[in-house]
Amino acid sequence: MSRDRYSRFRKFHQAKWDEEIIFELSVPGERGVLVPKAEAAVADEIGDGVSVLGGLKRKKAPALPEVSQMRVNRHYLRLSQETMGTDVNIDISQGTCTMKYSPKVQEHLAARHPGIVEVHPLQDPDTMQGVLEIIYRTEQLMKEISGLDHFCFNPAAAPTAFTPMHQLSESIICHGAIIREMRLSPPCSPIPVMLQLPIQQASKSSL
Amino acid sequence: MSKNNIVYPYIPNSVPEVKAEMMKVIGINDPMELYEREIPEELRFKGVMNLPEPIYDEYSIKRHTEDILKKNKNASEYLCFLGAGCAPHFVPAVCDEINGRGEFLTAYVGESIADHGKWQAFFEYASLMAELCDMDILSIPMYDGAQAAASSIRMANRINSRGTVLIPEKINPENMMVLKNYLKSVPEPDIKIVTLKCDAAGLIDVEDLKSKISQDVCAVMIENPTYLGSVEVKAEEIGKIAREAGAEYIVYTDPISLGVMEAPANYGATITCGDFHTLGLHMGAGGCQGGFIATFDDMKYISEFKDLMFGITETSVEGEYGFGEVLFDRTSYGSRDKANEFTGTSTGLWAITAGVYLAIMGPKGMEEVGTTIMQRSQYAAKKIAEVPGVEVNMSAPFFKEFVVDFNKTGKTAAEINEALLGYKIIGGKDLSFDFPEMGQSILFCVTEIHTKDDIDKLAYALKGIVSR
Repeated sequence: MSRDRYSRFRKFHQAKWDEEIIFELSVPGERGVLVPKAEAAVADEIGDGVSVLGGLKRKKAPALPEVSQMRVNRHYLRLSQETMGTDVNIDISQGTCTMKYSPKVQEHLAARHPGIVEVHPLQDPDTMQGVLEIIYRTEQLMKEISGLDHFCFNPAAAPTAFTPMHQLSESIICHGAIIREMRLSPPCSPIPVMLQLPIQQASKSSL
Repeated sequence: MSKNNIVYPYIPNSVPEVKAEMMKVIGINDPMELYEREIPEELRFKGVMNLPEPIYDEYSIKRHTEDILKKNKNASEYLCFLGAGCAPHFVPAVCDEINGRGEFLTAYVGESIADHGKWQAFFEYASLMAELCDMDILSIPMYDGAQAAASSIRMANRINSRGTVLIPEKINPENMMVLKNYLKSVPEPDIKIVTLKCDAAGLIDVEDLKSKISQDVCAVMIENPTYLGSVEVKAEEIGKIAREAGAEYIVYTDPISLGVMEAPANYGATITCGDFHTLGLHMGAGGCQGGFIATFDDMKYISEFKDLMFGITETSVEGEYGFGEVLFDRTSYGSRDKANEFTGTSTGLWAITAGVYLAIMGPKGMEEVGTTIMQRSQYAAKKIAEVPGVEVNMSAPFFKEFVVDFNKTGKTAAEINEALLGYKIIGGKDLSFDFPEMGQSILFCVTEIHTKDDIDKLAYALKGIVSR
């Protein structure tokens, strides 16, 4: 059946599962997943491994629920059905992130390719040239698009607001004047000169 | 193919006829007219950007990226014994299944009317983590553990208005850099960091703590397990000293240790924090970190959290659950510049995933994974210590990580790690840069994913390398 001919509204109803809180699904003894155990030879040589903790050994197990894997999976799939992601419908709710379609090919590479998901961030740079090349190339694109000389990534909106404020105060405190290039302690290392214009203007008014 | 005639699959309304129809409605003949009308001429970009030729088809984009990613070595083809704040752990398939769901993956800040399920998942994440920490209150997470540590200290400062924090000198150096940045200038006031002396395994010198504790100290923060892997056996005593001086006691922990290690709350912590990437998340080149802060159910603490918090409530329908935001005005969404600190959106999807992990592991799974990590890491330390010239001098029990001293081998830590790559092994963290007083030492990380054979292979390789 198609949409209402005049209003164009859909007769949509989101799933409503009246799903329990995960703790209410607990059945003593159920397991959601089994985890690797030390080999017999290791246990023979080391013992239980945890007695060495002495007084810092956990006395009372955490009161986590005991739920079978199928039920955990079903629980969270039901919660996902009660969530209106952008993949399901347009999202124009709030504006600090404007929601756009992210091509699935990107998601599959970023979330599943072992060349990303199985890479440790502190590996020797020789062993992570692929990650570094992608970051470098993206930096070049961003420099060209912004028309500025340097660029660095920030993790999210709040740190992005924090970094330039900190740069600004550092530059005023350290130099008493505007400097063309600044460095902040890693892990935020190379700093975008993209921020130079606002810094210059703000500094003029505050100095 | 002219650029104007390309139908972009990822951008809606790319068909020329559709575009033409839309332009007709708003009375233009070319999209550029919009720019010319709205943006003053001097602010308009002129010229052509120097960007690489685009790749149009999806298969070629995939190939292009995969060819670059092939240059990375990774933990699926190499054995990886690298930790130091991020570690290879087993990720149950259900965790990936749930965080790959489009509804969660592409959700943003929908209200409870649209995102009831997401709100429930956040509430459950907080509840599950609270059980693990044996505390009561968590907000949705922050960017990473370092941010959680920094905000925990700012919370303590707001609670008791004192201006100094005591921190072990051998904490995770990256966390220390974030603390130095975040505790000064923005937001005011600056919080002074005073470090506490540590032994070679990273354990605090309690006498040094006693000499530095005062009425100016807002918090004593420790890591347990420490950055160098050891278990802070005097954690209870340290907490007592902190609290007797009226300071908050902040414990930074690795949540995957809490199935076997005592929850910090039970040895005196007033604030527990850490990074939860160990709970069902991949390493992702560092992209899967997430920070948490947990406290007891006390308004003194609750009102100082900086991020959104979800609570459960009754509705007008008997037996029905509803979820709501707790004290929204705490956050910078609610109070803008008057808020405690900036909040932001960053790791909500990871919170849902950590919730799935704890639900699927249960109390038994958490105990077993902790036990396996302790057994295998102790086995690894023992096997490595048998290599001639190599020493493992841990003065306390350790969890997951331990320091191996190569000073007597005549080889540098860098040389050893480089040689290990020849055995298809990603070695541990070279400590010679961050802790030069330790000389040529490496921090190795052994988790539940490392089998006895993997560990024997590492010991065999080290034996070969140091005997050359």
